[in-house]
Amino acid sequence: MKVRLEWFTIRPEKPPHPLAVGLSYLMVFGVLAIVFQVAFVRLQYDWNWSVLGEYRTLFLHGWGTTLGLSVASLGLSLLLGVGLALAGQSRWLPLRSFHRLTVEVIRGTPLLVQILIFFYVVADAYGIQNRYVVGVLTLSLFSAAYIAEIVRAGIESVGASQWESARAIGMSDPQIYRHIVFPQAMRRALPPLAGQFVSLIKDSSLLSMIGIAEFTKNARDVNSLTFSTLESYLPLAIGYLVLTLPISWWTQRLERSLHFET
Amino acid sequence: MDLLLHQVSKRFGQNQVIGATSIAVEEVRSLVLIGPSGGGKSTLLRLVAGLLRPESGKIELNGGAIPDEADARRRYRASLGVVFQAFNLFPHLSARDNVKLPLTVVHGCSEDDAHEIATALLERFRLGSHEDKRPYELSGGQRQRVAIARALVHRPQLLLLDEPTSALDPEMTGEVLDVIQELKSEGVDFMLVTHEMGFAREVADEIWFLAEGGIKESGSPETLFNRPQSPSTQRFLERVLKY
Ligand SMILES: Nc1ncnc2c1ncn2[C@@H]1O[C@H](COP(=O)(O)OP(=O)(O)O)[C@@H](O)[C@H]1O
Ligand SMILES: [Mg+2]
Repeated sequence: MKVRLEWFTIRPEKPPHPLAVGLSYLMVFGVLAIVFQVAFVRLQYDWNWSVLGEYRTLFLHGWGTTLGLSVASLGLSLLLGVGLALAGQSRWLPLRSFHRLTVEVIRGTPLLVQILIFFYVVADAYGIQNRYVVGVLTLSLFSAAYIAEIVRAGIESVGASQWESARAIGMSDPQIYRHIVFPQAMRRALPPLAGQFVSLIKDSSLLSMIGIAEFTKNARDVNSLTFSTLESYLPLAIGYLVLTLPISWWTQRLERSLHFET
Repeated sequence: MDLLLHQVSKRFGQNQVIGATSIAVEEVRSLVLIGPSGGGKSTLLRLVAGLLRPESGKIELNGGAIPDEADARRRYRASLGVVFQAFNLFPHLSARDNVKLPLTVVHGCSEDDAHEIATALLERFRLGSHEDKRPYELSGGQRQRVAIARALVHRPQLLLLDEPTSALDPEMTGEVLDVIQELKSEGVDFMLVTHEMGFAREVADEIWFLAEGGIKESGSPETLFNRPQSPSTQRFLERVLKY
């Protein structure tokens, strides 16, 4: 059997064969592997993978901490983000001002500065001792500002004719949000939301600034103890992928099941 | 239906769409609005549907004035059914769920009852095999029939249809007009905006002709089509009946 090029061409009328998809991934993966293999050979790098075994508890602890921080911040930021987006749609002007100001300030300043100010100024003044709590709060607020904009765009994408149809049925505004606007807005917000969640997971590494022993910090520690740079940071990359890839897969599946446009 | 307009005006900015109009009909089953586009047909329909408020005047349907207070207004809207020209259906819900929604969310029906009622109604509209499809999987005519089913599912006191066939090709138009005709013979009261003059003539008990500024002429289809009084009605009919 001869491999033919047209197997790998996408045609509108017919989705590609799963085998072609798999083969295609394999080819790309192979090419990348060769490129990096050549690079490493030229580098004449002395691998020392025993580092991984030796410091595995440090890696695992760090990964677990990052997972915990991410899950907590993901949930909280979604809640805060939707709340903030609703504040921006409110008929009450101060709520709108609050939304605008929060979004602009948070998006316009570095997360690093926010973390430091929150931890050393705000949390201290209000007696929040637990650095993990402060970390999750800061990260959630930061991400919420972006999520609010994503959700707002989704809400605004639901047209006036949908509102009118729903009002004609006799639905109240809260019912319209719940049954008509949110489901449609969510579908359109899913791809950018997935991107935001992935950023959130990676941004959690900045929490090492306030002494949280998360994944990146621990990998950095291993590196400075062993001087095995790649053996410390490659597992780090893979550890983050293990967290971020499922988000992409899950949202893509959700997108398909919520599909309602041609 | 009994419908009364007393000194009703509506304008958008400088544009006086309906100016101090008074008119009343009693015990008509089907009221059809015709007239040139921009003449205010949709505006009048939305006023009666409680989706727009007039600047002044009052509207009474079946003896009750359209309430002013928000909750009462919402209940008033819930007692009607409205079908628009296009984009009626909720795209994220299946045909059946579209029809169920008013029952479960607004009229306090149980899930099971709503399911049964919606299924039976869709069956009747020859949509039985399409219940589980989402709007994007349906043809334009099927979509409008689902929209009519949704507007009827709670047995409204009046069904309002705003050019339900204007976005459809002739064959689908036929499907939808058949359904409206059936409703008429079943005694559903409706108010219809249409450009299908033949259908208007056949189905209407009463016709209102609207052009800039309000209702220019009203009456039975026979008088309005055969002996139009106002010059603007005559001009309009000449133009639309030419071909
Ligand atoms: N929401 C609106 N805002 C501003 N002008 C409007 C609005 N709706 C309708 N109009 C204007 O009112 C007039 C009557 O419109 P409409 O009632 O839609 O007429 P018809 O349905 O007879 O074509 C038109 O001039 C239109 O531009
Ligand atoms: Mg119109």
